[in-house]
Amino acid sequence: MSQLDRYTCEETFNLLNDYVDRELNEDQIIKVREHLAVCEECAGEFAFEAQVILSVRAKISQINCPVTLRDRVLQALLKAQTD
Amino acid sequence: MAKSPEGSAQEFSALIDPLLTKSYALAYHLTSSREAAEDLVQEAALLAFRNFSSFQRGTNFKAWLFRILVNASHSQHRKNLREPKVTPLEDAEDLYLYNHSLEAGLDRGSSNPAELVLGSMDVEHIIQAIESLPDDYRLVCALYFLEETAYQEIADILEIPVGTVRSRLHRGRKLLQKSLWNIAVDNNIIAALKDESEAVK
Repeated sequence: MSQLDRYTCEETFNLLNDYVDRELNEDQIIKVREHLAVCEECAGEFAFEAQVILSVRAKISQINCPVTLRDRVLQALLKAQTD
Repeated sequence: MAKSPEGSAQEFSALIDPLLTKSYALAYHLTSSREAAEDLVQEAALLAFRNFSSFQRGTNFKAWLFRILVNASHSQHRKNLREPKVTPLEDAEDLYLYNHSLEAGLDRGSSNPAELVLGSMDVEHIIQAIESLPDDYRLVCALYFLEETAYQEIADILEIPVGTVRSRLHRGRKLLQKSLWNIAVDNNIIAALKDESEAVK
């Protein structure tokens, strides 16, 4: 193991989700980054997992609020206010 | 009904208006029906308006609204309406989509196989995949994929510990990958991508 490679593949893998979600502390982030920089296999897995999240979010962002819903909600609120 | 004592309708409308699209998307995940999602958003908006006096100014309005929306979806009425369209998943191994994509030979060229597979799927497929998750995982994943949301905010919305969010999210994402792959296979998306891949070679 090189001096920079302070996390093993398994340790990095266990932190991959939290790393993708920016839920690690600074020290952990540095260690994961160091490992990904020297381990092609883990870097490939990380790129894939991150892309899954981005792609799912991109699809979900295509769900548009129906134009009629905005009016419907505002009308319901106005009615509730005057009742 | 008495007017909201402290909050004006104008203030409430200004707060809820920019959140309607996300509220609708979340409601769609929870109900799996566009029509039921509209009903749920309206119901949640009215509930929130009627209880607006209990909202603490300066705190997270979105988290407050989403909590009301999630709770409203828990009503027995909606539980009866929701009929799972796919068989619930039992478990999935790590890197499910990654390993299956490589096994199928989809790691071609410079394209990330995840982008290739998910880019070929419809929004409805994604909704179907999230719907297939067990309830606890479905809720956490629906909130997580709606936008970049910190574990703590999801915990606040669902009123569960942040550690529970983390563990449900980790397992939920694995299950989701399995479901996405199965849906892609069932809809001949993988077969079509394999054919394209073969043609390139």
